[in-house]
Amino acid sequence: MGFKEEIQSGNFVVTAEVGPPKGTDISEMVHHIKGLKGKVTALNVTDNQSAVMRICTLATAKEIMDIGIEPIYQMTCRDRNRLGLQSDLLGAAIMGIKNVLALTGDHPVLGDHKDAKAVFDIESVQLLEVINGLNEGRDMAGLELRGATDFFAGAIVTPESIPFEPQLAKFKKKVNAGAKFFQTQAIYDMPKFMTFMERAKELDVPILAGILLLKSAGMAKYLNKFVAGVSVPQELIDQLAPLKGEDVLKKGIEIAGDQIAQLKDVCAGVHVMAIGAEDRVPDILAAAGL
Amino acid sequence: MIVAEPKSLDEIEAMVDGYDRVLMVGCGTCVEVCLTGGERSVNLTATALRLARKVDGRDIEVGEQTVIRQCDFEYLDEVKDTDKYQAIVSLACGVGIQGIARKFPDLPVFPGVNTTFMGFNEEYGYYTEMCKGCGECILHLTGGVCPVARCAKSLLNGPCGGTNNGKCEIGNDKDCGWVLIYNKMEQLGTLDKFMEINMPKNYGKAGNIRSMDLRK
Amino acid sequence: MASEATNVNSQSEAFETWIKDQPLKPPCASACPVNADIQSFVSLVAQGRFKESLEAVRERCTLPGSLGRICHHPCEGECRRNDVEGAVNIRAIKRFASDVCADEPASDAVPKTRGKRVAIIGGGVAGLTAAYDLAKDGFDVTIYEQNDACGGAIYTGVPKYRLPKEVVARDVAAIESLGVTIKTNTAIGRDVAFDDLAKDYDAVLIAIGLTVSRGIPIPGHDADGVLLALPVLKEANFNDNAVIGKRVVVIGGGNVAFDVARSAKRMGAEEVSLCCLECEDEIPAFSWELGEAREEGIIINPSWGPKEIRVEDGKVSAISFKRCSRVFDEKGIFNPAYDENEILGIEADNVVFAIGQGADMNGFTGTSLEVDERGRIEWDALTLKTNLPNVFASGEVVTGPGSAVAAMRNAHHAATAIERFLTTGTAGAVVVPEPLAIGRLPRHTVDAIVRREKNHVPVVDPAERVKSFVEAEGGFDIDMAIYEAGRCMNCGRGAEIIAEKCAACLTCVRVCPFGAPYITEARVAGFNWDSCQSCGICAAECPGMAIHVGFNDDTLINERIDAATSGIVAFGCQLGKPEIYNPVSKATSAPPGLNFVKLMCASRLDMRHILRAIENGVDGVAVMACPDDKCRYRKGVNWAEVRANRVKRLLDEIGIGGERVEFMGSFATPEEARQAIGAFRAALAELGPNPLNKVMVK
Repeated sequence: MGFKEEIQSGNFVVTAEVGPPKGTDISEMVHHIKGLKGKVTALNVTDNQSAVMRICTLATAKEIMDIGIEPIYQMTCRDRNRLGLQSDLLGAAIMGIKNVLALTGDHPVLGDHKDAKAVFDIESVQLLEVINGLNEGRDMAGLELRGATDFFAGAIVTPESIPFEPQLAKFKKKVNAGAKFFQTQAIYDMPKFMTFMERAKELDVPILAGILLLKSAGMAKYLNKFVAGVSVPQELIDQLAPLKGEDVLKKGIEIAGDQIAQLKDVCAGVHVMAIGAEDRVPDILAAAGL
Repeated sequence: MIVAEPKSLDEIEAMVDGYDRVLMVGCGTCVEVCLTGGERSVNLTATALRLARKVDGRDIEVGEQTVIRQCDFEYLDEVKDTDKYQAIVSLACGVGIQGIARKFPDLPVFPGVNTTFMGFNEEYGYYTEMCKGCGECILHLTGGVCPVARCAKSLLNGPCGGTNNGKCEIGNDKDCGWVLIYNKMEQLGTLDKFMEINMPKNYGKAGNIRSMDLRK
Repeated sequence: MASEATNVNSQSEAFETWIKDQPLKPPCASACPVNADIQSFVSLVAQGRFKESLEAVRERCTLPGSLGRICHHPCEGECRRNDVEGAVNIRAIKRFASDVCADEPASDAVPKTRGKRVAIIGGGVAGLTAAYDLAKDGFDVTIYEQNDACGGAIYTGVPKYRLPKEVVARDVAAIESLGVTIKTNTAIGRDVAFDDLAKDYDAVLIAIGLTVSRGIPIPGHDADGVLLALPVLKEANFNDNAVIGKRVVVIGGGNVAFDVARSAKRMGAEEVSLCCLECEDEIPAFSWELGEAREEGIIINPSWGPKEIRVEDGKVSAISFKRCSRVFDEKGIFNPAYDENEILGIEADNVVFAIGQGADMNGFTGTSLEVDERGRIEWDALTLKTNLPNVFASGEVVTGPGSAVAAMRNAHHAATAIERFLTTGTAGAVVVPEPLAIGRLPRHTVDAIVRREKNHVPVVDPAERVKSFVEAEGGFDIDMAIYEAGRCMNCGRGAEIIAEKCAACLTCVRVCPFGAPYITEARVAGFNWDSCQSCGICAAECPGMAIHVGFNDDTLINERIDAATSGIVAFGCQLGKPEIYNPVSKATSAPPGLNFVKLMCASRLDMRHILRAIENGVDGVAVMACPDDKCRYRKGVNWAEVRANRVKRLLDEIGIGGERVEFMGSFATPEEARQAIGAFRAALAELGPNPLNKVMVK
């Protein structure tokens, strides 16, 4: 079964994500994700993540499909206007890409091309409606398509966002706009996540909890300081702090596996983020008992 | 009002490098209010220019005039004695600078300021961007807080994932516009409107060599 | 004030121009009987410009040293600082200006350009004041004075413990130096005929005052030991060995009576009682006289009228009084009522009548001057004329008894009348516009004003001071005077808007610590002078350069800056401690080559002032300010620092280098200031001279 079918059947799904390189040498990327075939239901391809310029998502998604893994095409609104976005969506469709994750995208000032014009012609909610339209055979201008798309569209939500209410409101808007699945930002606060899941129940939409592999105490501190909506508890940092090298990585894997074990009964699946260590995702899943 | 910030003296010096007689013209409206282009700024900048030239062992004559506005031809009429000068440096906003350039087409006109935004005069010396002139005001839908100007990404349907404790992902000193909007609409009791999905902006109205013609 | 008015032809024109220029004045000037420009002279003392201050005082208050001691200061009663911590000690500041300049050389004589001669009969307060005005207008003035020196009542009458005679002489000398001829020991009638004067001079002013003490013909009034006030005071003033009986009773409640009582104490009397008709609240003497007299042991008995003097062996032995139940009747007319059943008897060696004075008209008998049946000159109060076409009168001889400053006021009017008569040939009514006072300090402004407690002058201990006629009250030293003058809020000299330059940007509204600026209906800034303290912070920030602050304006400051084209210019508050320049000795305790430009407050410092100094060619600019807790205008030091920093950045961009400007803040001692300047000078020496001096083609 494909990703969409798995989710809609109620089976527990596992996704991971890969970030393409800045450059044309994809050998390392391929090496990291080869082992995920059969281990994950689908694999997200990030789109110039953190506003750092990398290979475009479309081309990367093709490489992934060639390896035999189903891609989830992440599309941000930062770099393309509505023409570019629709055009790329049609391109994705003819390439056989089925899943799209609609994102707003990080602001250019955070990345490595700080002076770039931030496009944001439309944003995530509107993009979801656009995808709906394309699925129904018309573009944003209302013009009929010669051949419609058939995308399974999703979006993201950040359960630990402060303040929470505006985030929740936007979450509902995304559902209303046609998001069929969600992946969350990294979860660490279990009780908060449980509360969130309680409130999300009424929307009846599959949610994949985000699990972020911590590779060191330093990484954890960096996340706390610089990444909004992610807050690693001190006890985890304390567990990682005294360890180095393979030991700390093993610890991180253990923590991630443990998190998955705690969550797997309340959500539709997990989205494992192990940037640069995608090949260890199977270890995490093993640690979780999956 | 329109806010502008002063250009560095180096930049202005470079612009007028080939000239010995320059007229500096200030504007008595927006730029005077934001302490950048009024008579005082003209005096200080002209003095600085003169001193900087002297340090280089050269002279420059800098005339100083300030008119009430540089965006009306009638007020530009009050700029006098331009035949005595080889170039004009204007401290008005971009509109005024072009105004003076149109008024005196035979004189090179240089900008002495960088026009930045339309902003609010919060307190002495502090101004904040409030409007982008998008031409399609939706303040009635967002509790009176503009998402185009006050959200870094000009989003129209709620905060992005980068929202951080009420601050924007681009900087902790900047408020997240959508948290402001949410709080405002909560205060007004209009959160039901918050759930309405706002259509993408009509960027055709915000760009493209605009004008307004009320003559008919 | 006359120095501000240009193109005026006379003292009176200058005065009227000043009043009309802005009809709303500070309450001190409007309360002052001569409408002295108090704010100006106080401000000049605050700036260390003592000589200019003294001349400013003298314009209207013609005898500054004397009035700095005896004036009853209605100005202080209206001073708006009363609403904060207490009135500015204006009288003491006036006295200081005179005292500190006592050794200054006299002014030059004024050229007698008018070709007319005026005789003034009587060199008292009124006569001297009129002489000053007329001499300054260019008339040839001669004073005829019957005593051996001028001064009149303040020379012969006011005791030395209140007003030393050398101070009177100082004031007279300043008038004489203008070119006034003074003929002393010259009495009308006895030495010179009035009719001759009226014929020989183009105009004559009679200002002979009230020089004859009156008595009351009660039983025993002609006994030995019964004295009159003025002769007693004269004796005390001019006879160092003057004595009086051990027990003295003074009859009267006016200032003269108190002068007599307190002089008697100093002349050796052990028991001195003062008895008057008025009850304590009605006593006409200045209120402080009662306290000071009581401190000196004088017994005051109010509400008693003299009944009878007991005489033994032809000499006074006692005096009895009857209770006075009322002094003025229902119509307010002097009409005392007595209760003969209540009697007060006091043993006395001397009884002194101090109940009033009359004019000595003896010199005018049989002349063409008309007097009424009671010996009063026929006089028109509006024109100040007598029956004779070129003869005028002023002062107590025609107005009746009053204060010294009131006599000055009348004399100014007389000088105006005479000047107009001699210029136009006709005498008209002298109508001088009255300045109106600005309003009280608004509450929010009172709250914003930094508290600075009032300085009081030192007073000699009562036990000590009754031993002699040494001056009972001291004066300010320089530090106290400048501090006290710094408490003046410059009422009525506020900021003004140049409307066409104003963008209503609200900067002045926001930076003013006192809530003075507001936006008018015309949508330009306006300044509420009830609140404005004239500090000039707004003027230094206004982006349109649309604010003009009176005497605190750029023109004056620029003049001071332009005095130096090399060396160091230092900017600082005029009240800033410590002084590194002594304005009296003109000695500078800083090295030469330092031009100290004083500002009303460091917050007045405009970036353009610093740039001007640099453009003039100075090598460096130092910026000093009073410490934050001492700043009169709040945050003066912050503003000075902000502006200095802005100029430093600009000078870096210009290429002259921001190191040539140093913000020094405040110093605790003169030594620290000198060291900082010295260090700055050394740093500048390393930088070399101002690069503009090398390359400027002058």
